[in-house]
Amino acid sequence: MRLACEKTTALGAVIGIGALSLPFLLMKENRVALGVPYLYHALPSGPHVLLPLTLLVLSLAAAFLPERPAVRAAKIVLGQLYLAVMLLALSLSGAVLVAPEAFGRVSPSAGFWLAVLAAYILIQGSLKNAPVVYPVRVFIGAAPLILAVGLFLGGSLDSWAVVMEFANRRDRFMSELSTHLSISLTAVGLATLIGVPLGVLAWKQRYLEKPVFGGVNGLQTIPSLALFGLMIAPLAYLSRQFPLLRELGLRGIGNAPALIAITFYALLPITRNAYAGLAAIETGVIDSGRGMGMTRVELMRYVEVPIALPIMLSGVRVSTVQAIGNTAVAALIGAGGLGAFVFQGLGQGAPDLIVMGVLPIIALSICVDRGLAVIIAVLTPPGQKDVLDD
Amino acid sequence: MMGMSSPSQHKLSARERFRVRMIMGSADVVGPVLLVMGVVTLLWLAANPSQLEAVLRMMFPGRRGYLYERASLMTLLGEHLVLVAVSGSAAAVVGISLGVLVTRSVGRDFLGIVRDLSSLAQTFPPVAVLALAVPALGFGFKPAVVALFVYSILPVLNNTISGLEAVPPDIVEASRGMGMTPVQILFFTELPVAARVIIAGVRTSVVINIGTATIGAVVGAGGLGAIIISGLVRDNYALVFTGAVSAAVLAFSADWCFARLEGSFYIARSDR
Repeated sequence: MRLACEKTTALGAVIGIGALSLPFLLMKENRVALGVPYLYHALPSGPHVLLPLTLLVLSLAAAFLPERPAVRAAKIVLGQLYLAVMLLALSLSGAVLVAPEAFGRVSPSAGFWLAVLAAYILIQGSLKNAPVVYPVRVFIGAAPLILAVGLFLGGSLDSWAVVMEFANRRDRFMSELSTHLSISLTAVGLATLIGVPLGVLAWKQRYLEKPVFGGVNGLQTIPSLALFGLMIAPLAYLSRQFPLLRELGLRGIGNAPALIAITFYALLPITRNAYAGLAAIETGVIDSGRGMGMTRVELMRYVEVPIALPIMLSGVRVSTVQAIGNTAVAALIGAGGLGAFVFQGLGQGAPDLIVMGVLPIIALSICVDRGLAVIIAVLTPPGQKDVLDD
Repeated sequence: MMGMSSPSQHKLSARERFRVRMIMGSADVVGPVLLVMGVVTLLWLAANPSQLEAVLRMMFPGRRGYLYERASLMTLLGEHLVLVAVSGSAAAVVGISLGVLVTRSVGRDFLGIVRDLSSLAQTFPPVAVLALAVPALGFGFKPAVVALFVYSILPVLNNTISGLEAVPPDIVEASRGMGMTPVQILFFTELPVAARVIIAGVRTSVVINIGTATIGAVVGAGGLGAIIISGLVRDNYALVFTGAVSAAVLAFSADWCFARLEGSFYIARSDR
């Protein structure tokens, strides 16, 4: 008899077992000290190493069972439990290790991050084809995140170096976060106001297609830092020449060059998808609408907008994710935002401060990406589902 | 960057056709000419620092330093190219191999999870991945290369998978009917048909890589970013300008070269 093996789960379990043999956390005496690595089984507190090992061996065994709903659910639960054990070990051991030291702190190390990857593979691998509705799937996938946020709010992660860096900067964090969001969202808003008409124009006037796309393509080819740099000199010159502009906040350094450069960057996906949205409206569909006796307004309301809007919105989705990343770089020209923490951390050689800046940037990108994906999925008419992927 | 399917929905009048031809034709000539002029000027100025200084003095009069003292423009350009070439070529090899692996029967089980992971990872901003190299690996050239390598895999991997998945099954079927082995089918049928899409992925990856490598200066990787950052810190636009224009010329040239390469491959189309 030949054993059928579900390879994804097996891979996740093997990675998970490997993760247990790598340094799980680093204990540091103060902010800049070198860390002392601890393997999982050497941790002073938390569940015994046999517990995660048992969960992984069970997952491995489940990989050889035939794919049934119950088996699949069991795999998902095992993955979730494994991740929960890891988080618990981190928070319990952190508290014990840090207690005797005045400035002590812990950071998760390679083993922990590999365990997160293993859990992701275990959970997503089985969740992917599970016949559950979208919101339920999102909730199951996000359950470990909810647990992590719960531990953070409950103070169980206070020994974590990143959380300590955050606690020291709580007020500044909120203001940088709002700066970050306002720069990114303003840029995407401006880019939508410019990019959608550009895309429509390129569609209506064929001779403009190549210059328009050549232009927006070219803007996105320029390295972001270079584009920021190129913005500074002309804006500084303008603000010297025209005091009125200076009063409006248009200066060489700060928000204005960042906003303009990020808007330029956001143009390509929005323009391209505005064009693609119009291209997706087939003449046959319009004709049949007209044949049904629809007026011009009805055609727009019931045919053109439902077809083109989701495609245009997926351009906005790509642009917004890119804008969040570019805003992080904009901190280098004094625009503020979460990138300021990252570059401050790099300047001070404080790895935990870098992580503290990077984590919310990544979280923000993923939230925006997934959030807009859900909105787009809701707005897409059933007949168009195959046009948009993911 | 992506190929646009050009619509031919409405007929063009003779006058419109003339305008289309004029504008598109001139864009095809003007672009490369400007690019070659830019590359030649950049290399010449990089090789002759005294000329570079003279040009900058003319553009930004009344400043103190015009040249970066720590390294010549040529050195920085070289560093930047090495950074991109090493990480980019390694990423192309790994990305294409991984893409081939998960589309074979051996690895097909992993296709879903690899695709999920890579689309999730592509949501990460490149600067975030670069910055994380420091806590994970430390400062310097090597950690930056590793970070650039990891991030550059994603577009190549994504495009390799979608390129291979889009190979019309009847072509593969016909190859099998001719008695080709699976390895022959991969190298002589599937990869050539998917090449255009794969090269487009490499192109995206290299352009992003050049841009991210510019930020690499903040993690101590050197390259053209060093001169931009140094200029920003010292409020010296001449330095910022030199670095920014050089980086932009580099990015445009790489994009243009890969666009030619991409255009030289056959477009796969299925009748279905």
